[in-house]
Amino acid sequence: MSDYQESIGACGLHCFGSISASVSHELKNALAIINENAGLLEDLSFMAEKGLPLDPAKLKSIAANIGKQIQRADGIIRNMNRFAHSTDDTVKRIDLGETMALTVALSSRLAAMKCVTLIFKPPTQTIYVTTHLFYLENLIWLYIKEILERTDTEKEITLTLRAQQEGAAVIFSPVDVPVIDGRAIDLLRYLKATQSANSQHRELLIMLPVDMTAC
Amino acid sequence: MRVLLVDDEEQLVSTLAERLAFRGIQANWVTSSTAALELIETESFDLAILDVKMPKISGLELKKRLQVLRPAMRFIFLTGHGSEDDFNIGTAEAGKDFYLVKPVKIESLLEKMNEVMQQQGDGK
Repeated sequence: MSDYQESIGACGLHCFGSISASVSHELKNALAIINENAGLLEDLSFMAEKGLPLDPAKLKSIAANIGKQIQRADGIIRNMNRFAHSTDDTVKRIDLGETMALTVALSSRLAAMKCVTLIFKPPTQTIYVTTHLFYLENLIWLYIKEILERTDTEKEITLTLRAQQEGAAVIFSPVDVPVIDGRAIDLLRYLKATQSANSQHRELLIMLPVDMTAC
Repeated sequence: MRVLLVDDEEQLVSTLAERLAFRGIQANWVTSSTAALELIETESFDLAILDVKMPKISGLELKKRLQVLRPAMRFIFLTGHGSEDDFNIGTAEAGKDFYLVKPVKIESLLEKMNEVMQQQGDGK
């Protein structure tokens, strides 16, 4: 196995591990909130047994809180499940907008830890590409991670997906410093993608071809 | 005992504060390390219960800063790690701190709170 193949393999493992850890932390938080609300119900029941009146509005509010966290956990698991299944096929024709939306969702906690909100602007029309799906998700995630690490003042990072003549462009903004991470360069090469910057508009662009698997 | 709860999950800290209040423990809660550092300027607490992973300033960093301002304050960490062992391995403070893995049983938390305050009584 070449150094280049080893690099993207290691990057894939790193990405999968980081996203899994982030997802498990988020699930733990949802479970912790459900746990506290269930405990509060127990506390209120215990006090009702002692003669304190139960407030129906309070009970409704607790039930709503539990329901909200169940929905949250379900969304997290659904995203993780879709991500895990991205390794099913080596090569696949995909809706790029859907993949971007998923990767942004999986990166939202990473951004929240930096007090940054990720905003995804989908294209006006569906863009289909043929790609190594898992590695494309790796690439987008790695760019988000690297951009977040270089950001100190931004509150929002916008990712815009735009159709191009020979494929699509993913535009990150505002970004001042281009991503020069070696793993990103290897992934770009593997996916036949290129990176460019527009310093005037504070944009970083990844150009993705329609077929990222062509020799 | 006055307790400060810090976690970026508002639902978690607000409900936990309510449950502690039922048990006669006064707990104030905030959802960021910055808010905790502001609150500590005007309020005193015996114990802080801190989430480990928080935006900008982590729980471990917050502890260091709070200790400078309130040297007598005691700390318990809440972690979203898989187990207490994972947390131990992942921190330089291994073995020195009290920590519980989310979700936490209230009985375990109360036990840990007594333990940490007892340690203070022993002059450790």
